Amino acid sequence: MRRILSVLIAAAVIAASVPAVSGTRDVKLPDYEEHVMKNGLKVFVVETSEVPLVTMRLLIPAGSCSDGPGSEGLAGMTARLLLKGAGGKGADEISSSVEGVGGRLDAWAGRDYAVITGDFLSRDVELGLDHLARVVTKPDFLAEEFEREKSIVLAEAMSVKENPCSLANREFLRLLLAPHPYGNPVDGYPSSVREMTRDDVVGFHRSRYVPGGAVLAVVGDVDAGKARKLIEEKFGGWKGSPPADSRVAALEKRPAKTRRVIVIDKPDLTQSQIRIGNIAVGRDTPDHFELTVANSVLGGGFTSRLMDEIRVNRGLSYGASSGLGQYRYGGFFGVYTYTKNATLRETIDVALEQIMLIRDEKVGEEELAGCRRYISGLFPFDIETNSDIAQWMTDLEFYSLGGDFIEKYRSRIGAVSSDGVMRVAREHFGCDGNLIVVITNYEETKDQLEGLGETEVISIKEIE
Amino acid sequence: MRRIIPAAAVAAAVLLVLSAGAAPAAAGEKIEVAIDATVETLDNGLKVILVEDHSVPVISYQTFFRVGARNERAGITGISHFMEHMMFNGADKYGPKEFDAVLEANGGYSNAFTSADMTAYYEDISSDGLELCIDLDSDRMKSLKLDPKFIVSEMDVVKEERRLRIDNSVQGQMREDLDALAFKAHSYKWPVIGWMSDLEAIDRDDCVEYFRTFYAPNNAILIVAGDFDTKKAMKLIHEYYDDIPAREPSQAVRTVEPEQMGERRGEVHRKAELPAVMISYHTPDIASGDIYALDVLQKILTGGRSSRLYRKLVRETGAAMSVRASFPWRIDPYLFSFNIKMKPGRETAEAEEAVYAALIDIAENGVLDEELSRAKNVLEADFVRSMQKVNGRASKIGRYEILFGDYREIMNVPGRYRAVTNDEVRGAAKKYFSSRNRTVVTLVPEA
Repeated sequence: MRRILSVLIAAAVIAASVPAVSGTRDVKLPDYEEHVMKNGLKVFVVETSEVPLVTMRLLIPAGSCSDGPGSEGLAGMTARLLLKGAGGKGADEISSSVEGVGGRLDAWAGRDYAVITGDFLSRDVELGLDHLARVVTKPDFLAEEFEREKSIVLAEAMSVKENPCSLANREFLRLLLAPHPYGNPVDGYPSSVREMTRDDVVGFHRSRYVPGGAVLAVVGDVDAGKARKLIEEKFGGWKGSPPADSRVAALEKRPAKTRRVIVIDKPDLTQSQIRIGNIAVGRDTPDHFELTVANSVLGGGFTSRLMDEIRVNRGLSYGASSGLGQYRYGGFFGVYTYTKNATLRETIDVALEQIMLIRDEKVGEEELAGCRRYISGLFPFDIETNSDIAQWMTDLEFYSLGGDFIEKYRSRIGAVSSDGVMRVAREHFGCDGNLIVVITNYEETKDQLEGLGETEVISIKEIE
Repeated sequence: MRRIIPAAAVAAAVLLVLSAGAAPAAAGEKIEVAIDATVETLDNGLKVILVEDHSVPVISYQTFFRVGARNERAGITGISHFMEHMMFNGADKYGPKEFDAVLEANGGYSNAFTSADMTAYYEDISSDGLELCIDLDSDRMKSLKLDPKFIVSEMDVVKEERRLRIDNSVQGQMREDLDALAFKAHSYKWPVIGWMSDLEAIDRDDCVEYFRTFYAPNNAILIVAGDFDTKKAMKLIHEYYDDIPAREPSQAVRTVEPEQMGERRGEVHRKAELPAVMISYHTPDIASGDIYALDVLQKILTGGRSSRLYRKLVRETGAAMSVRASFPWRIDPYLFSFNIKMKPGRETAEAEEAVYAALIDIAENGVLDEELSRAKNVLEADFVRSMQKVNGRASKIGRYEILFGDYREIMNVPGRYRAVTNDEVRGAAKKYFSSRNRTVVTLVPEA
């Protein structure tokens, strides 16, 4: 519980000898097979034998970024309903069958894509693929299930308002990115969900849940030949190509000279949530590795600058971090922290100072080298399990990151220079023109917020 | 005295296999778990468990101490968790800030957790980081500094953690109230993070005494799993740890929670959007064979979309947004708890009724064979899933050492789940889920 989720060890002078670590062993994906089926479905099969389990992951470019104005939440709802009845098998029949063999089957939408995952004991791989194919290709979207799911989504939206951290994350993205669809919660807004009809869902599924553009990875203790045969059998009859107009407008930067401050007033809070950020770049940026390192220096690990200044030196918070949201059509940069109401301004000022510093001063060689080693050292832990590998396979394909991405990861991180870090920080970590979102007891913190920027106050009651 | 339990030759250290056999699982196959570990207890009492496994070029280095909120007393609640934080704030060789600085700059990651029963620390790092971990962890076990300046700022950090998890969290506060109401004597009644007034009052002397009492090698278990050479590792561990002296064992926890003699009810009134209710029942300690039947019950009642209460409350009546049950294994008798979030406008009484009806039904009629077999299959498969990562395997060994006194119990678990009978499930429901053994906390949302 100490820790949640990187600074300056001003020349961490450590006397005596420190045991040497090189951490240079190669990291690569296990051998895999890939092919494209006649219907356009891209398939990867990876044999691993560590545990008697098989993971299957199907990615479909049907994320919430395709939800137009007024139909926010449609992609999310469609994904949620897949398991609620398909091919004549009811929701209870599907869950009893899957759980009956200790399996797992889930479906959800993110911003760029929808994902359906299965995790089964090796002996049940056929059963798993059978369910996976059925729920994706033949969902029934029963009216009763649709109404039930709607009421759950509406209750969940209310539930987010009880959790200051989740609420801050949701509202920060909305305020920062909307009207671009990336700013909408995947599950939409209560107003748009209420208006949604079953026909909307059926229509979305018909046009978006097609094999063209979809990626399937099957990873685990399974014979590759057998897996290929099963996949052909279960998915061979699936037809369709994505609509011609499926691209989404790019999320453009919106240069601003002045800072915007948006306060959400929630009078019962004794601790204020803070988010600071700006629109940045998408997943395909050539600056990906520089950004990864710059973000890690600023707010990655336990020795990041934000953690050091906010938590370690001042005891202002339990957590302080920065992060990059990188999607297909754009992305954003954000700082995340929280503190007791009395130290709200101090914490914001320290965070802003650190964003300025990484923009204005070159990162020292020692700090930079440490950070590169940190990122490289932890990389193998991201490729440990069947589901890690399945996620890499589908993401590498969807974002066109190249087959050598994993193998070259460490050398690319190792090549990041202090000039590169400063360049991307200046370009993508905004300062004067950024957005600050605060959730706080405004009556208590009003005076502290003076002079921070153009301020707008919204009552929690006005939030949907 | 140095004890060595099988000094085995090591190949694939953790073996999970499916084998044909007389098992109740539908497919007629069963899962077996074999852990090939080298175990040695140093002269100072530190138990060392090494599990060599070259499948991934990494190691997980974990130290478990037999101390948690359970060992605290009124006035210093939260000190176990606070000590967990202080363990990252400097010792003799690696001073303040240096633990994380050195580890991260060498490609490692560290974290820790405190529960009521244990405090655990781990480092995940590439294979050749073993000696660094040994150096870092033996240094803080030997010579933690407890710098007054860091005590002050770290306590501020912990207070923020409390504000985050409890004071500004509806669910966090309900859970705190539930434990406080269900227990009147045993230390499980206070939150692991501690009461705010105790966090304000804990001083350096308290910390020094606590460290001396509980952070002795004879109160710890060291587990290393992953890509290393057992012989070389054991030699290095001796080099770094042998000179840390054993200390007088701490006094055992003596308080036994008296039997509950009637339902206890409480309310939380605060700003909230949705009604919610938490319901708990006292359950037996870890040594009781009933824990496996209770795990099965947990799955049958709320584990997954095929569970009874999910179907009843979320699907059939639509009264609830979510329904969960938890039965965490603990050293001393603790609780089996339900946590139900209602839809807007629905009454928590509806959820209570459904839970009680399901429990009475099982106590009287047992469960369906299909439900029993499904629960067992989910438990077995989840057990395998929890062993996928090097970190997960090491952590499981540590937990089982603390809870059962022997990590080898891990290998028995799949079999114990398979052996659970319908009679045992019914018996457990009858024995523990009585109204007089019940504690209920409802949330009354204020506008």
